[in-house]
Amino acid sequence: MTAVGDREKWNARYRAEEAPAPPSPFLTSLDALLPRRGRALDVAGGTGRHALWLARRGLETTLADVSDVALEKAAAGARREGLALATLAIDLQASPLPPGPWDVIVCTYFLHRPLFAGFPAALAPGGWLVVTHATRSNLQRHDRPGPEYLLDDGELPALIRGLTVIRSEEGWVESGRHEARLVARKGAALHQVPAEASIG
Amino acid sequence: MADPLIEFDRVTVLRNGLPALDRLDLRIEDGERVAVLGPNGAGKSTLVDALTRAVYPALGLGPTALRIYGRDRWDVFELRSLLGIVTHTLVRDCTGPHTALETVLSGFFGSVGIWPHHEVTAAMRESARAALRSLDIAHLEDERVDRMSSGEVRRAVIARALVHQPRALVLDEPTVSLDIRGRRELLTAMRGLVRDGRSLVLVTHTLDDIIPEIDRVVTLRDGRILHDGPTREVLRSGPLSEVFGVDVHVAEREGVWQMW
Repeated sequence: MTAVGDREKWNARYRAEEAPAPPSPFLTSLDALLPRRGRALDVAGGTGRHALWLARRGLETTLADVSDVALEKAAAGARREGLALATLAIDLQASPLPPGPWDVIVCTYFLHRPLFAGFPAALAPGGWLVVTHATRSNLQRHDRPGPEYLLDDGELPALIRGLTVIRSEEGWVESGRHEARLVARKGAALHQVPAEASIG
Repeated sequence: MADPLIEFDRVTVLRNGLPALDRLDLRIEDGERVAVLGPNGAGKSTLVDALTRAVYPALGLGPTALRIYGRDRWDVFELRSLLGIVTHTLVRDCTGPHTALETVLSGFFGSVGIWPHHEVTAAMRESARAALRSLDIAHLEDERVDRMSSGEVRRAVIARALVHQPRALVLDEPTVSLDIRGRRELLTAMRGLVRDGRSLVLVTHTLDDIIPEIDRVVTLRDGRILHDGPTREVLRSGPLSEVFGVDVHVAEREGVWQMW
């Protein structure tokens, strides 16, 4: 699909969305682990369910998405709450990650494998990467995302290079989807990671 | 011995950055019948959410574990098949144009109502009818749920939670907004359900829901456990005044509890 066609597809979808969903309970369970100061990037974050949560916690947050409709909705949500939120209209299938350094990068339900090579350089030292995405087993119960947009089962940890994987899990989760979830950190030796967070 | 239904070791759940559960330790054995009692905002619903894996313990605050039937990792569909869960949200979602029988059958599919792609077998239908009988609403099989009384809806949703023979029943404020008849019928049905040794976790802010079969009460306030003991020891003026933050008087008559 062309970049313009992609944008229009997502704009149509986000126009129909009434309100952003609450943040993923997996992300919110990391509240005590993730920093509250610094810069955060929400990759292809739609109407900002995660960007707004990051901003509420005090992070200087940028929401990057291909859909200007989604970005405007997120900006309106931020204004209502009196939050600072930077928005960036960008097609991350065609463009590299916005330049960091980022202290937190969140990438949920957006799969463009070449981006993974760019995460380590985009992260600040000690920076955190959080990724969640559906895997192929999800097709057993859901038609979407379609096969071309799914991770293979077990694939996600292997996509992470140059970062320390702190938590990685995969299975049927609260949303009813089969998800891979991963938390990784730049420049962290495993002995620096709180032991309770390190459940492989 | 069977694995415990619940083992929470120093479980903290944060909501908007604040602990809704605060380093909670709680163990409930398989087959136990327990009430979790506390005021609004004590963390009761978060406890149910943590048990059903709708929320997760906060990481990074020290060693913690949350095991259900001995496991800390669950396929959510497998877990839902072991726990019969009734919450306000589920009652609301089920109050629609489906019949009581369809509503109960939908428990097999984790859906609300029966849809064309669902394959309902004769065995499923028989289990659904048995569940309706166990809640004394067999006569409402073909009645639309949105035309029933609140008490009947509540019983239909509990029947839905029971249809696949879960090992434990988890009820969050089951009698809220019921009149005395609806409440009495529901409590009678609950008593029948736990006599076969099934676990019951009843989450409530009122003593009226505490059926005589409940032999242990855990009180919760500000996300922490204040008391945990036999029903008669906990349901006394002193402990309950502490839990609710006002002077509370307690009376028991023929296994029915009241406080004022």
